[in-house]
Amino acid sequence: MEVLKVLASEYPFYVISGLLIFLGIGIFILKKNLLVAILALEVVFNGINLLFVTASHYLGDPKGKMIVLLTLAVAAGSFAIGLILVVNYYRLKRSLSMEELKLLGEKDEE
Amino acid sequence: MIERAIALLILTGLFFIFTLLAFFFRHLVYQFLCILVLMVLQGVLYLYLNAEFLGAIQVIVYAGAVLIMFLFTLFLFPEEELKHLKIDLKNLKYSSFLPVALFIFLLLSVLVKGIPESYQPRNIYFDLKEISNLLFNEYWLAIFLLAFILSFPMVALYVFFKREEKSGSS
Repeated sequence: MEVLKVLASEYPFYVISGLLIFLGIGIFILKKNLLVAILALEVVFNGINLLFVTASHYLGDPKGKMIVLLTLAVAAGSFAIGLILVVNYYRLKRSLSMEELKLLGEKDEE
Repeated sequence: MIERAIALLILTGLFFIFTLLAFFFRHLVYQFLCILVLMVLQGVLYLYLNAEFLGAIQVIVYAGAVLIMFLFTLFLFPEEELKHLKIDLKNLKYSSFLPVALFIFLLLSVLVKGIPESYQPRNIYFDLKEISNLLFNEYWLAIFLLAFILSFPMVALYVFFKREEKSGSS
């Protein structure tokens, strides 16, 4: 019964949000690709959102859900801008590798 | 309580499976599909937290709009860029120090303090009326700023494609 109590409480939500956050950070660090990096940042955003909603539900304050609603919109906008930047970077460099990402550090060859 | 416990156990298991798949797939489209499933499952989880509106928004905005836009962007790239994404273990020992240290710290803190007693959820019902009250009374300035911020992607798209038209014509 104790196991069932723990499973029905807020702990699964905390475990899942931690899982999402660590998945995002792990993918961002280990796969050196710009498209994967943007996707990983979205996953981290979602993990943090789940944390907010869980805390808001179990503490009885609806403001956490409001914050999630606001951050969802900002995350969607930042995702669109990130995609535009990656597509234009690929047009310039023909590569998606993060290790070659030194566009602003390069000296002008002309 | 038993139904809720079993459902959350199944959902947690599905999250673990798709997280591992998303981490170890080497093709970006397969990886993307796993993350899409994770986002839909997260929308289901919101239903267990009495946040029906947020669950709908999660499925419509994230799974339906943002990630599908990402999928169409993926199809713009040649396939050689999307497959054979290896896990780069060269920088693992230096760059992964922070998340591993954070994880060990959290684990030790839980082990030292012990698992606290669970909070009992209070009966709040998060419905559309309450959202609209909060949005248009307490958070009207935030909504106004959000509308301003969300116009940036549209302006950015316009600027980039205008520049493309100019370079194409010259």
